[in-house]
Amino acid sequence: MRQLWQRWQALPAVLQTLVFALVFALLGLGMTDFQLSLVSEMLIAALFALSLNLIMGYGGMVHFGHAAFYGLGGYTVAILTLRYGVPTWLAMGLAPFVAALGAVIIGWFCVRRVRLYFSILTLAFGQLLYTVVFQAADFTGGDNGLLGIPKLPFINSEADFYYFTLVVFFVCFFVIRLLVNSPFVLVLRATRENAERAQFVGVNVRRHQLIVFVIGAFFAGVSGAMIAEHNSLVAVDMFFWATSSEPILGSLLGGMYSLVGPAIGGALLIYLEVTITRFTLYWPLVLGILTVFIVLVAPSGLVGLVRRWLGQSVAEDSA
Amino acid sequence: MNVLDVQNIYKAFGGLQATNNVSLTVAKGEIVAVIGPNGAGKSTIFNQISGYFAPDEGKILFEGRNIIGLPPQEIVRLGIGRSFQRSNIFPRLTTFENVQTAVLSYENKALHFFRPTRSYNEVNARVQEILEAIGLQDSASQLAGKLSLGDQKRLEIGLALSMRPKMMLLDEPTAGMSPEETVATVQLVEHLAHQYGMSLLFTEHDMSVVFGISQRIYVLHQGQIIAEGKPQDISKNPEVQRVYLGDDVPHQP
Ligand SMILES: Nc1ncnc2c1ncn2[C@@H]1O[C@H](COP(=O)(O)OP(=O)(O)OP(=O)(O)O)[C@@H](O)[C@H]1O
Ligand SMILES: [Mg+2]
Repeated sequence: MRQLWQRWQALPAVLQTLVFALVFALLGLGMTDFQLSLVSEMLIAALFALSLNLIMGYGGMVHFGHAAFYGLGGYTVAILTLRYGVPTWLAMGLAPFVAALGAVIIGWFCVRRVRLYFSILTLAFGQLLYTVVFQAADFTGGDNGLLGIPKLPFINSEADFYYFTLVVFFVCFFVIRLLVNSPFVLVLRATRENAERAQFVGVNVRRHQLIVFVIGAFFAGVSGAMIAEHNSLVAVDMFFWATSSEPILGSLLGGMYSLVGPAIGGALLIYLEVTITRFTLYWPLVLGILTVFIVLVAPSGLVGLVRRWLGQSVAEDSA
Repeated sequence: MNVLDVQNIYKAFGGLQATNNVSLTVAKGEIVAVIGPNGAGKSTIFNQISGYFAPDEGKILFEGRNIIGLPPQEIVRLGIGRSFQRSNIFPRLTTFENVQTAVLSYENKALHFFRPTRSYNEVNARVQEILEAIGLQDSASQLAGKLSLGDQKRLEIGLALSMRPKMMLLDEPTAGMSPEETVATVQLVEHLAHQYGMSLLFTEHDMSVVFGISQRIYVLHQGQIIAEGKPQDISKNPEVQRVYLGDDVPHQP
């Protein structure tokens, strides 16, 4: 088992990503429409969690307002297609850039503060945006959201959407994987460990933090656009703070100090939510118990448990 | 010409005048010590030179340029590297990654997004060179937070060195080290200063280190400089004897 793991780790990034993608592609062949839809949603949640983890896991910035960029991604698609007749593919292509632009503005203020104050600012901006979207009903649909987002022209079935999601997810995953092994993220981890010392080796800490904030928002925008297209609708809940907590819990469950942990955790939460709400309406209760359990018993998440079992250092956080 | 020229700086914390009209100079390649009892204000002077905070009044010229008001990351890029009194490293990065971070930053590669860090052969060779210079090559893959206190202090010096400084500020570089480690570190620092023509301003409580390597000494007491001169003059100065050195002065040959 350990040997197998070592061999796997020696594979180049492209190959690892392709193997993953291939497994999912093959799985797709045997799935029902319900399962295809569920796994698509899981992948989208996984991407959302990955995007947050760049900021929170690698950057050490606890971010309570990430839903803002998920929402911006989704609403960009909805508003551009429904209000302005922009083709869906173009709206979806623009969505991550709108989210990133929002992050430049919001982030510019937030990175001026550290730790708790940073977190509170992100929460405040997130809720501010939520309120604006909620109130501007003429434009955003307010409480009702916006319905009837047109499908992409090449998507005619659940299976089509599933394969489209696979491509988007694995392209993003691959790019994030490159980032995680780059000088940028090494220096980012250093700012997480000791922002003060980082300055004294010539790092512009705020600029670094702002950049990762924007990159994370970009990928949150991608997942927001994908979920809007998947559901053919957007709801104002996309901006709500509870939505920000989903990738945080996903990251905790899967393990923050790793690349794949948050993806696994984010996906697993969707899976649990869908299966458990079939039996009971008390999903939030289950989620609460699960969270307490993770924090107390396995603070470095599932990946941490596996690493301990493999005899690796738990704190290791490169890919 | 003086590399560093500190002119009449003042710094108060509340009612406490931590730096009181301090002036000091360091010439190119010179090794200068600042000594004084606990709380005399040594670290506070270093903090002002390195941009941790600005003085309330006065001037700090580095190579003739006033650096007051510049953020630390810019001051370090002008060529002032520093180490901290209490080891100040990146604990959950490996020793190698600690130095790698500094070297990448120095070489303006901190904003490279897509190339794997391990493929930067020149950077990594330089990291290796620095680790060897500070004697930590065998701990390269250890988490820095797990190093002994003495090794963390050496890593401190390694981080400062990565910035190819023209001048180093070392705040008690050997605190927490064994006598053998102290000797090795002092030799390293002296060697570096000579090899690269680097200026050195340091504080140290270990008087054998101070009198062993410094060419000039400033004595600080309650935020004020009460004496300045060559080691042999300082050790004979009656006021210095009274407020600080006591019996601690090593006998000069
Ligand atoms: N950031 C700060 N805020 C408030 N007071 C400070 C601060 N930094 C230093 N001081 C005070 O200024 C005085 C000088 O402190 P400093 O650390 O410069 O002394 P030092 O000479 O380095 O002492 P030591 O030998 O113990 O390191 C002390 O009384 C200290 O309590
Ligand atoms: Mg001090």
